Amino acid sequence: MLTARGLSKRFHGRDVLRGIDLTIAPGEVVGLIGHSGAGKSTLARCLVGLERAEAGEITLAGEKVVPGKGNTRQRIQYLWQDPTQSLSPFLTATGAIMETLAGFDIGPRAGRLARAASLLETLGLPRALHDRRPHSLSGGQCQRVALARALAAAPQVLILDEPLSSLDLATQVSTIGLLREVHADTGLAMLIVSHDLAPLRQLADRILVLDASRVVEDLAMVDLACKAKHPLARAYAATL
Amino acid sequence: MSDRGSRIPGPRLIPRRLKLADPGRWPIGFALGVVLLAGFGLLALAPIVFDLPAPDEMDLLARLTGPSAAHPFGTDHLGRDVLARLIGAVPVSLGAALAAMAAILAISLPWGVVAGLAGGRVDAVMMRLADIIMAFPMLVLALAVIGFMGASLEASILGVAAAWWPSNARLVRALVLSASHRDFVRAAHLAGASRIRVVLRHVLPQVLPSLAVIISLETASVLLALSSLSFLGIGAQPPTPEWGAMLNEARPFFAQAPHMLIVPGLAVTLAVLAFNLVGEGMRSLLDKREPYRW
Repeated sequence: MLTARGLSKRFHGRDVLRGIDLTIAPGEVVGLIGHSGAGKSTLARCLVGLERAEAGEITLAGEKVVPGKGNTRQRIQYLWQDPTQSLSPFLTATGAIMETLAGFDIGPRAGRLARAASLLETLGLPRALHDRRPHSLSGGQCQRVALARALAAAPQVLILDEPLSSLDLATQVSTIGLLREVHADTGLAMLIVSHDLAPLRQLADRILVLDASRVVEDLAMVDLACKAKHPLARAYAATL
Repeated sequence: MSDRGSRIPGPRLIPRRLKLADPGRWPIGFALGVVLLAGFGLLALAPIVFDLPAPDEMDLLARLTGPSAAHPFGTDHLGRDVLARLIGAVPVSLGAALAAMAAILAISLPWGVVAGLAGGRVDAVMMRLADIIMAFPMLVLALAVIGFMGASLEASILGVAAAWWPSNARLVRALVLSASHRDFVRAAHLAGASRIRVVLRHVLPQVLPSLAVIISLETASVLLALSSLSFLGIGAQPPTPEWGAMLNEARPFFAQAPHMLIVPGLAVTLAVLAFNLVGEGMRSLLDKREPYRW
């Protein structure tokens, strides 16, 4: 599905990503974990086109793509770390979804409002909140709107950058449940960036450990505890 | 219901909760500025309502007379009623300042927006061009344009616009640059919004409030520049009533008829003060607003 080969990126003369190889199969949920500054978010941003990798190539369903350009923009969607900041203060929840439906010309024009409302309700945002703007929604509600917006694009891959880090504990639990439901319903391939193994344990099929700008471990989640070789991966496994 | 299906709820460019709509919450300075500008507006309408002498109607027997019942602000060296000329100058002076500001914005707004959004070489070339123009002192550049076109109010408007737009383009670019790097702007692009829609619905609404402040403050400096050019005799030409030109005409008669100098001088001062107070007031109001509730 989504493959990256030899992705490299430098910031201010420092290597942030060094020859990263990554594959996400259709319907697979991959967790990307590492310390702060390991390059997790940079990798996610390169995959979606928010940053340009200086070397390497990305293919989607076997076709070489430039993230963020052409129809790749629709096929790879991104969930931002801070949902409140990623939603336009000028648009209501419905407006945000409608913008995506109209932007990618999804579905008949006449049915878009109903589709937006249905998507928001499916993701647990009550109808009374559909006409609210981000500043009058909670972090969890904004996260639902942002997720609905990403799903409205009908993507093939969803990249989630620390989707739980700005949420309180209760909202984290409900968001994990929501992501599981979304995956079960859509079979969407996902890459979830996190510095915490606990949510990945519940969501991911496979885990990549990033350290010093390189992928140092690539294992099925069930194998992490017994087969991890790299000290950092073993340290993460010990927290399970 | 089905018609609404194709409409995307857009941002409100018109304030919903901005305190501008609630005069009771206006700061004193802003209220004073608005009252002054409204006063100038009413003055400009006065000739329609009241039977005033024409601004260029001469009475050589009543030259340089002081304030009286017949001529509340006295007369000038040609016996023209100073009040009538002051009122006649309102649309000319303020109109010229607004026309110059419109011309400045017509260039600087698209220039700044394109440079800020394009980035890279386009931005570098556009900004270096603006820098080259900014390297000339503003009034010298305005004088050069007037020298090329010949002294007139229109030439001074174009001269001021030519000299003032680069600094405004820089400001617009800085505002656009800051606005376009917000997460929600980049997110809107990734989520399918076209480039035009991103600019119109996500970038410009962020820029407009700051731009309104800049426009008000810049109009004050443009008004002052245009009055200065008319005072030097290279802006509005006689017998056009214009505050700077009236000051120029009053110069030789300062000792004899100080009202000739005081009246237009006060008008320029009050108009500049009004635009500055409104600009500062808007800045204060917008700084205290709740996030994006304009």
